[in-house]
Amino acid sequence: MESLNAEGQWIIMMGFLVSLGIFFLAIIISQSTLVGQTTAEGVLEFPKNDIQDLRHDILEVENFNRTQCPSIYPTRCGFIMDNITQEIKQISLYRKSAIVNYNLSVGTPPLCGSDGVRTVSIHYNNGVTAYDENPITIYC
Amino acid sequence: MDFLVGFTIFILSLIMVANFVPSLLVGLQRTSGIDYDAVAYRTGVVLVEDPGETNPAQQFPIGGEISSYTMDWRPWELRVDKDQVSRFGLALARDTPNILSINKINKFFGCTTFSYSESLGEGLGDSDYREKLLFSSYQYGYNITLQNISPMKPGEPLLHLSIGEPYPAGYGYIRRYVVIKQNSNGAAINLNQRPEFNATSDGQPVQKFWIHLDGSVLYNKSIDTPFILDLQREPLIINISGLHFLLNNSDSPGNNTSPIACKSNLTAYNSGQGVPPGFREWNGSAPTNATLTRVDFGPTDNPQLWTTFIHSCDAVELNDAMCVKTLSIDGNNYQFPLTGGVNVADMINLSANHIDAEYFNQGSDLVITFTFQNNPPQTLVNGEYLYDYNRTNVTQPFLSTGMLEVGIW
Amino acid sequence: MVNERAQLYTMEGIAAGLIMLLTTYLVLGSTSVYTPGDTHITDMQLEQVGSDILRVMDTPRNLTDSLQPNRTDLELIVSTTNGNGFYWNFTHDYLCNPKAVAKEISVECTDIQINASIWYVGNSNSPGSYLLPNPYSGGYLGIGPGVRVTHWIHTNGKPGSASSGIVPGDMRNEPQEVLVEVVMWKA
Repeated sequence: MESLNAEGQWIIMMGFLVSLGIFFLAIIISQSTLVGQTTAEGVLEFPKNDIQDLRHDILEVENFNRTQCPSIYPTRCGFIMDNITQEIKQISLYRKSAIVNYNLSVGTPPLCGSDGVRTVSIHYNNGVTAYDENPITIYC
Repeated sequence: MDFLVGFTIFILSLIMVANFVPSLLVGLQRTSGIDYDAVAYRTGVVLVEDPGETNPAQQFPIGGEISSYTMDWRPWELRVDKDQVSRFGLALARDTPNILSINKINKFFGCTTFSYSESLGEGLGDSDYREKLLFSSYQYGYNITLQNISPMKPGEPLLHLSIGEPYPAGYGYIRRYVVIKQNSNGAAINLNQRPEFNATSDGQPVQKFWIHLDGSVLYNKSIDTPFILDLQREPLIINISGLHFLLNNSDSPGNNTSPIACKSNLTAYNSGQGVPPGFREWNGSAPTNATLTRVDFGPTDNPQLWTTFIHSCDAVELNDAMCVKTLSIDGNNYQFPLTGGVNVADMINLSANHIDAEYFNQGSDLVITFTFQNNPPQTLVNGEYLYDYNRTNVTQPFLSTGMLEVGIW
Repeated sequence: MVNERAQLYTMEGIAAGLIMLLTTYLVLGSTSVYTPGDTHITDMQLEQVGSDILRVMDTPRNLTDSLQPNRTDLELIVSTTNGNGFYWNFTHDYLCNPKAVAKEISVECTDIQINASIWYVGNSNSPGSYLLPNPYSGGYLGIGPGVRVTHWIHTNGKPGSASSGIVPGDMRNEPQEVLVEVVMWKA
């Protein structure tokens, strides 16, 4: 049995080495698939398009609030703006599982400050991604 | 022999294992498309949602004086040197995803070289796309193709721009739908159809016609970003035609430099629209040539202030106010500044790549003045032409839809 | 001839072979969990493409007053409840555009079904929805993976419709924000 240590061991050593090689290869391969997998999932999970879209619409709401709303609906403008806020909040929560809030600053000459600037703040949180933009400056 | 038995068993199993390994690698080949997809996605986002980036803090001396520096804020598509670009992006602005600028597109796909002049021109190469768009030490293969869906300008060929190599068998892919902002065709001024610029009444400073560029009108905040006539980045094109209809061989009213003319003797050539009131019909043959003596550029209160800061695009300097691509009169090209008088039978065409933001911004009020010779034949033209959002004055920019495809392998 | 040492060589050979075979078996077994079919790649592409199409359809082409009613294709489609127009535009002009160099999505374009609904908040103060009628395909039954893309638009009043009964009665006839939701799935 003593001679085992001296001569025969290299066959089983080769076996080990080859297995180790295959094992590391497999780890690398599985990493590469995992990377691709998580990238695709990350892209799907990150609500980039939702936030861009929401931001675009809220800026349109701001424009409506400043330009059309007071002149076309002089008495009901406040009511319509409240409804719009509810629509954005409720539908976002119901369809997009996202908590959304926005705030339009109210200045003196039609809704703009005397410096000709209006600010908009946006809050978005869908439990994974939170997005706050404050303030967006609008020159009017 | 016992050793041989052991060794044979080992070799046999090794062969079996070696048979399995390629199948493992086949899996790698198939699934690694995922990684390519991610790179394609990233490249698509950079192109479609980002306006691009220049190297920070590019400084250059003003007027050759090293002591006074100003920052170079020009976007990447206006840089002369491609080394100043650090990232390509085709979007108009940061907050206009999916809206691309045709000027950036042309620069990126190499339709116009990376310098104003063809002789200085250096197109973009493979290494530029790798360094400034793909951002990877791995040598990905790529193909980026942009095509229009709705038509571009009427009469223009379909857009089909492509860089990179043809698609191989397996690749990562993303497709983006975009809108492309076309440049305005500028102001096409047919003076025959614009009688308000025909100087017929007494006391007018004739022989001057000026284009008024009002920054507070053009950069009015109520105009949506995609429709701004953004002369800081987009070409300014002015076409003046119909000049010969305004020619008059006698002296003009209110400008009695010629002793033989007086008001009662004023004559005008009848170009078919009748003779202006106060004129007798000119009996000679139709005068053919106006003479353009100067083209000036400057603020409203000092219209010649920056004339010397205009250069032709071949010799553009960084602190130039405006680089004139073409100044063509009746189809012949002239160098800027105009020296001596040039006869104009009908058409003056001035096109500039852009006006530098230092000289033209929201607070500026500029005029481009065309001055004609003050001797017979007179050019009875006078007035201010407003370059603005009125469709009858300036053709407006419009958007067409397109499709951008990115393939990575 | 037969002695202890010789048997040991054979045993080592067998052991080494077994180790290698076992490793390969385990390795192959574990990586096969991530097969390409399981990944969300096509979903990722579809989501981006869908969002892009809605955004492009909601971009005006010419300079107009920014709140002029129906200034974009999508606003016009929603305000007239033009299902035919929407599906034709969405699939023919964009999703299945034959110009595409790579046929990635368009080659199987006939397999991709889409369905659009409009979400609003009605008089009852709770979210409601209605379908844009689709002449080309049936509804999404929730079988198989689908991708949902959305786009907010501003409408100036209650949408009109060629056939009655599509737009619900409790929708307010006032300026409001509605969510256009498109589900895309492989049939």
